[in-house]
Amino acid sequence: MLAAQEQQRSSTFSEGEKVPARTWRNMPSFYNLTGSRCNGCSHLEFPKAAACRKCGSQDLSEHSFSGTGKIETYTIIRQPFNEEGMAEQLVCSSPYAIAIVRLDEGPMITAQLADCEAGEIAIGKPVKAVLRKISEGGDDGLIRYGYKFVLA
Amino acid sequence: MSRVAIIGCGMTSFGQQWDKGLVDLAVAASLRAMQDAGTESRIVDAVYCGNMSSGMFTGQEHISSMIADAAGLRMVPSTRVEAACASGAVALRQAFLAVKSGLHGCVLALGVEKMTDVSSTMSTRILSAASSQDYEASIGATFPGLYAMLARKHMDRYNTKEEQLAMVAVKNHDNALANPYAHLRKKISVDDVMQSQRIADPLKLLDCAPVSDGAAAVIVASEKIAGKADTPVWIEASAQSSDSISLHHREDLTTFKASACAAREAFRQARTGLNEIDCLELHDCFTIAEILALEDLGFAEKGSGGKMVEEGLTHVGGKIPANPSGGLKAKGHPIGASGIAQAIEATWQLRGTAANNTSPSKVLTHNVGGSGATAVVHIFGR
Ligand SMILES: [Zn+2]
Repeated sequence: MLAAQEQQRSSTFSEGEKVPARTWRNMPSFYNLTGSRCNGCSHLEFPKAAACRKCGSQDLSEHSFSGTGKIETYTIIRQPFNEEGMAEQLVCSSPYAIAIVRLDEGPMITAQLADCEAGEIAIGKPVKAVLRKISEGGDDGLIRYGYKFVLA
Repeated sequence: MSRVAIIGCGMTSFGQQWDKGLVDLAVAASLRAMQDAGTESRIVDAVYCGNMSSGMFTGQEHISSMIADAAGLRMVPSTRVEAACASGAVALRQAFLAVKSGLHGCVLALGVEKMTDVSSTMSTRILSAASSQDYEASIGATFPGLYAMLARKHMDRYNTKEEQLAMVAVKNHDNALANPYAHLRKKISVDDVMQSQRIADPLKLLDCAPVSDGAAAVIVASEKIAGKADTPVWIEASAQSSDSISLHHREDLTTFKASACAAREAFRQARTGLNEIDCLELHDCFTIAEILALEDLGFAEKGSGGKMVEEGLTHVGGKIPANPSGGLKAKGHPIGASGIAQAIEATWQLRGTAANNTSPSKVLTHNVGGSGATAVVHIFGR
């Protein structure tokens, strides 16, 4: 079974490129903000759902969000997340800001706010998604990329 | 259907206990509960053990059998249940259901967490596993961070003040002074809270429950067995509800819908209403959580929880005392043990032996898992 998984993965990526399954399967949502649209009731969700949370339909299509939205709420995290010796290290300033963003299409998403000072952040401010380093190290030693948001 | 009661309680003190491991704590609490029930351990038919993360905190899994064995309960079915910070109340509910069904007559429900064998940064990371690993924890949204965002939203929408959050901590520290089991028996002021180290704005160190080791256990028994006990305390309702694990999937960031839902079901089961409840043990892992709970359970109008605390209505001696034990905030919060410790406080309140006795006729306990993805409400009476 492991061999079959390896085979399937190696057919997706070029020779010599090794992407651990966890990072690989989350790529559409982390790189492209891919979620889902319900073909029954048009409800949008991020990340991709198996069944519509509004009407229960399993007839869903992929939907990539534009990445623009507004800050719904936020915090400045001042306690350390990284510690020397821990494999996985978050790539960010210290302290760093986390927000729940209401995307223009409706759904909310939790993300880091990058490139801003604590004093500039406020509920209701427009933001947009950017692709950034999220963490490095970890079990697989990879640099993990994904979305952060910046003030628009 | 016949009634179900708590007939025995036992707990360890909460705090940093470097000389005791996870099983030591669990067994100490369990033996005390059995002794308090006045039963021989052989009449315990089953064990439910609430624990969030023994694997990540200590490397040990399969603790249900280990604890049963060490407590002298070999051959008895022993099951671990996990619902993050609500693991304890979920274990109690499993015991309640097992007795209510008639399958078991006498069940040990316990909760335990050994948290201080890891660094504080590691415990921050372990606790964040109660939220979505992929979409919250691994991007740096710590647990205090999630509650901080709820606090920020509540302050923005309802004009709740940071000082009102601080008043929850001051009250619960006051209550813990008399509780010999409490982790933080230290009087604090609103200024102390406001000036304490900033953790995740607007939450500061003294807005947060401490990282504690500890265990708590109760003996849950059928009406037939409880009838022979001196002071049975009846479990009049046991209700549980679930919501999305991530805050970003909720409709409203100023409420825990699962708490409201579980409370509604609990009032239905107990055939009682808000006015008949006269003492509360609420899930105050952060000060904002106690304010949300007062509102979500119906004791305060939405948005007015902060004001209710400021007016002193939730003090011991007030209209509806909340967390006379000191709550998670000051009694301590060994994750898996907290839900059981709430039930013990309820039992002691109803027996009239609690440290801060409020002489209630009915006590409601409220235990939350994660940032509101699990909520459990129990109602106890004499
Ligand atoms: Zn739908």
